[in-house]
Amino acid sequence: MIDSIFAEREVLDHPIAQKVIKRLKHADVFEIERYQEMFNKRQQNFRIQKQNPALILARKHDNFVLPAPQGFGLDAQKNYYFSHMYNCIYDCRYCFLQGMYSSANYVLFVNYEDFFKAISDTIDKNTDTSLTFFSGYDCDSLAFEKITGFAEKALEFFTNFSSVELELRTKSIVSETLLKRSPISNCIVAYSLSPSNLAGVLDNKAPSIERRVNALKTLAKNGWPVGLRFDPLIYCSGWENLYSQLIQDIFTDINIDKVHSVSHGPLRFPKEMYKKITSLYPDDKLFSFPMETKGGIVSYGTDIEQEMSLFLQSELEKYTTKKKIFRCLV
Amino acid sequence: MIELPDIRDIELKICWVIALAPEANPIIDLFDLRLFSNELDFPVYVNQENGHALVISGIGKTKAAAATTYLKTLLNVKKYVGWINLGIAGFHLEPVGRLFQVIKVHDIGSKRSYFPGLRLSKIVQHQTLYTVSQPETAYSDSVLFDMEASGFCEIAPMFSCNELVFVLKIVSDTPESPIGSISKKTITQLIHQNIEKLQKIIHTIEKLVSDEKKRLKIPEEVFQYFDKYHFTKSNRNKFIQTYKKWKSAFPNRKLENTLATGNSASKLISSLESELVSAIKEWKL
Repeated sequence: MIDSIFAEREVLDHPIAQKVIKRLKHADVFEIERYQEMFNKRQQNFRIQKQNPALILARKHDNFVLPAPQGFGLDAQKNYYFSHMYNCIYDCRYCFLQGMYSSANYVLFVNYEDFFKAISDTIDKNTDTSLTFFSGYDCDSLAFEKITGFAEKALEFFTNFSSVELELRTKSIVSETLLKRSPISNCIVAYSLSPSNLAGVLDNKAPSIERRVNALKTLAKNGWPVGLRFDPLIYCSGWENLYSQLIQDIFTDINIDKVHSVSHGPLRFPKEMYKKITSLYPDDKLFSFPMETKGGIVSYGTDIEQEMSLFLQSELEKYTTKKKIFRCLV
Repeated sequence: MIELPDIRDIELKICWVIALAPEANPIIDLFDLRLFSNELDFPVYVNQENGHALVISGIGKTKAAAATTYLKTLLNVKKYVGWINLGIAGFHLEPVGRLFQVIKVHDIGSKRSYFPGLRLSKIVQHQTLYTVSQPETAYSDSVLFDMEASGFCEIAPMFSCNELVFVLKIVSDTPESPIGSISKKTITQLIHQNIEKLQKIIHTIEKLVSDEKKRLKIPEEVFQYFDKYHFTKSNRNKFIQTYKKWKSAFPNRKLENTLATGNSASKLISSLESELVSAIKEWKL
């Protein structure tokens, strides 16, 4: 539970900040000038800070909407992402956020209105193009929903833009916000998934795979389009059986019409990020694997990537059509 | 003064930076610290057995920063060591004697803020502190006031990391209990009455330090190879990194067996890499 909130002076009276402070009524509130005073500073230790992260309430001033990295999107012509929050309550060992920031504190940008204005402007500029907006790039889209209420606002907003897709990427089973309302056909709830025993070791503090699969099936049953994201693919002895079983479990008893898309992607890190993460967790077996470095990217290497990708593709094609399956290459 | 041990032999866990002797004495007693050196007006106390060291800085942020640097240099303090600035502070509210962990330090002079330490929320209450250049008697804000913390916070994280730097303050004066009434004896008593809570805090910090030491430590068995073979700087780093991966993958294997046939730095590295590669098919997480 969050015990301390650091709020920028200028957002203290913002209605979202007030709501968050009210919801975390046991937390002490401290005023700060700018979130950068305490976030991502040199000499911070992500691993230790992760033991008790604080919540920082801040205003974002620019870059509300950014083009998604090449290879991140599905079949839309243009893909964008936005991050109303930095960092995540989960502690997944492969997560790039560990190498991205030196700080594990959560930053919540409370000026949601500016995000929606920027998204609206982007839509206006791209009227003749199919668009997908991704939420949950620098955080989990739903894990903090009870505190932030951001997804609820985003759903209200995207209801008015039925030709534009919103993807909420998550590992959270907190889906009340979605289930209490009618499904929105252009909002995809995309679950990050990996075989249960791998997730048990790597997805620290995240709901188990069984619970995630149940949550996504419930959403599909209630008419919500769901996405399946096997990303990153984790290599280990017997990975074929593990992924095969996982895929079978998911596709058993699911409303297949509501499976919007399925994507899979390899485990990859920019070299410097990998160096930073491995120095945080030098004893973790995920990082003792003899990875390859090519073009500044650390990965399992082309052979393993290709083998895993082909296997996933063929397993998925047993249950769904080719056009719904995408390979993510970020 | 104790006979100077070789500084390489001192395995420190916690370094204390404390402004005044009456504040330091209870800690010196608690950890059975002995005078190690007394140069430059910065008396340093050490106990090699339990890994605690302490420097008395004198009053003011500049002296706090200088004493922190002095202690680091004198004892060659390692990156994983925890740093604590303990002392008394003014506060707008009674009761005198309350212990706080300061999680925001604001320097009134420079207008800079610092956010030291992992928050030990389950043990101690948190508070903001202003570091001022003269004793504060108006208690104009609902924060703690001291004269050292910002100097300490400016420097100590460079020697360790921000999350292992702690500022602990005990309320010594308030509008109802003015600063003029504090004696040396009272100061020592205030520290004494918080010893139990301080011990809990120290226990938690020592655990963090131990984890951090484990993370950063390069095992002894690696060093023998640096003596035996010529390593370039880059090979040396690569050997350490590969060794760490290898050790994590095969915790029970012995380096001397794996490296028995190697006769150069690059061959040693490739022996470790080969063992990792040969284990891919059976890789377990």
